[in-house]
Amino acid sequence: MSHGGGGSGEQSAEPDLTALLDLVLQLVMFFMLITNFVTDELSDKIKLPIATQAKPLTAKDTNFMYLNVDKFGKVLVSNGEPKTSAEEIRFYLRQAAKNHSKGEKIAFEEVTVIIRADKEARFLHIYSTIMAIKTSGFKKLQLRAELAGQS
Amino acid sequence: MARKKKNEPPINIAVPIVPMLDMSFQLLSFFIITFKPMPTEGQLSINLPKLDATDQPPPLEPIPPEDKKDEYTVSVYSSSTGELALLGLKGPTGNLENIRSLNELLSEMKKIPKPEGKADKVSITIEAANDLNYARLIEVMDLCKKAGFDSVNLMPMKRGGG
Repeated sequence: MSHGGGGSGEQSAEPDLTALLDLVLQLVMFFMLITNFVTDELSDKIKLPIATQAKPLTAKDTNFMYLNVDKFGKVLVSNGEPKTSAEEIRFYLRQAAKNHSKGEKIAFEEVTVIIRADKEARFLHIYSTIMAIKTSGFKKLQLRAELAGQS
Repeated sequence: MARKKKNEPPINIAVPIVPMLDMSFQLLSFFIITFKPMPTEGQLSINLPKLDATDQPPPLEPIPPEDKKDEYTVSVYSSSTGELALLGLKGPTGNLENIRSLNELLSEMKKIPKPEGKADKVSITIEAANDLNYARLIEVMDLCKKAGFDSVNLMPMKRGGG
């Protein structure tokens, strides 16, 4: 009498891992989609002040440029060294406008410059940044704050 | 005589799922550990500051009275640490120089008359001390919004203040 294959006769029970793998891949996709690797523009070194009356952002807000101002008044930009003087900020902004896909003139009209300043930054630094934005030619400006109830 | 095909048993291909699951858990752990939720941000609109009066040419025609704006200035004085020290409100309705709290400033600002349907006829300028903390400035701007003035101008305080 012969036994077919598997001479030992042990029984093995393997759970079906396909469903678990599906679920894990769903979670990985979720985290991949929401992970934001662009941290230079939304620098986490900047602690924004809280504003109760700040307007939430809308999906229409897409054409913008960020300037992060730290508590010492230095302007942190996504590419390059921190800017410490108004001339450096103006130069950086004019270069960004020249490199805009639609041209410098359209950039000045349509791009919104967003100032994300640390809550401990001094008004003098904020104002000199605003004046640099004004004198470089941009027409639209926005300040950012953290919405109340989010921290 | 036809040959019968031998009925070969089907070949079972077992994909090794366990290592794939291991790798997926590794990826998931990486994304969970590096995930950092950003606080929700809001926007505050401001008007770009006017250039120095010497840079602007004088208007060719006088501004008609119906187009003139009522201009109010909120003065914000700060201590050496950047905190609020004193507030002031100047405008057509009068000058208040010793406002000690934000609530008092809010109640005074709510008294500012706004012509019906012409909210843009009132211009609010915040004149702040150079040392004022940005957080305190945002509180004052918040207050202006609560009082019904959506857009404000910013100006540094003239020498001798803050």
